Amino acid sequence: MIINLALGIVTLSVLLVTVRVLRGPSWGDRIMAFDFLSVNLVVLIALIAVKTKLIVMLDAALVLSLLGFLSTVALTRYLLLGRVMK
Amino acid sequence: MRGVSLNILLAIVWTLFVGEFSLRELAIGMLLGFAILSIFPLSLGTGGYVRRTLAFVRFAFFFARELTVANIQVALWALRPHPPLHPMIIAYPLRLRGDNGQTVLAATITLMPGSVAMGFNPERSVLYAHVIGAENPRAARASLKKVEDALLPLYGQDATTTPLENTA
Amino acid sequence: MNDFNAARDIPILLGAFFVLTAAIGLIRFPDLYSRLHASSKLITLGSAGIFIGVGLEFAQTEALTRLAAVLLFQFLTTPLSAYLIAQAAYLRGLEPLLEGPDEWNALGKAALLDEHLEERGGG
Repeated sequence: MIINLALGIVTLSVLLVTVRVLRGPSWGDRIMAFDFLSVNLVVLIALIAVKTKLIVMLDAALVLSLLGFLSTVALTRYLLLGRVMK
Repeated sequence: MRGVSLNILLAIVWTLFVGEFSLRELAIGMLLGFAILSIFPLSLGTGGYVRRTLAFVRFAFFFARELTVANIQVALWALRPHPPLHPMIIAYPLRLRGDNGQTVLAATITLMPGSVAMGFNPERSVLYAHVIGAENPRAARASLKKVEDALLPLYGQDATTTPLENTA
Repeated sequence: MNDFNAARDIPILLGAFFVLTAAIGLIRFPDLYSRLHASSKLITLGSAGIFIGVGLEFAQTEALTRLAAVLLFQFLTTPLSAYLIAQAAYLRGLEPLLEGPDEWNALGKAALLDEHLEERGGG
């Protein structure tokens, strides 16, 4: 089934990006890889929603994409300014 | 504002005519209403709205095409053995004024072939971008200019505006 | 493969392919700034393809509104996070591998960072 194939491909890409998170070499690389990972997980959850036929999963995808962006903003602010908020 | 509210009003009137309130009928009503607004721009005072919407649609098509090109290009580079990246950081003197337009420009060129926005100067008159796949800074600036040309009519500026600063 | 549905499956497969090439680009490109090209462009169209395919699969209003929200949000945030990461890494002194000019560095990194922090209202 196509959904299984797509799930496999996206999972492979999650594994590859995990290598980038572990190898770094800089903090910027790790932040970027985490950002990419969160989008990857959103895609994965959307595919799982098709597989299980549960629309509720899409709410989880929405929340996860919001959280991923927020954490990227917080991490880059910390890298640049040394603090997250005033 | 006047144009948008008239268009929504016409869409609601259309759903009342059809007698069925659904997303599809609302969309058809919006399209028909837009046709009416673009036929009578003088008496309704909606010329600016029509122009802006058309510029937006043109920009959306341009954006979709460029995004596809960018994706195929980067995908090929990621898969081939020795990608010809030639990375460089260029300064692009902006013609677009205003924070909104400049933010949209920065976001758009990040999704365009070969460029990622990196920052502005404090006066916000120069955009710095990381560019791959261009032979020289001149070619890279030309491709950014194409994007800016598509964005200028959306923010009510004409394409003949000249940048404040000149970086040769 | 007996339930192959072209309208649904082709966007999903293309999207998954782009997501995988983005991951390969992330592994293979030489420095952070080049990797940002791979991650920002490919993930946007890749996830868009998958969300469109998923939307065609469900074809109900509840699912479509949520997918439209996620899609819009991806299109808004992916370039922004690429911009933020590139700016933070550059101003904090991560050297890019360049084969061309660096026209931002005319004043030197330290001056750039000071300027930026001043604009944000003090470090």
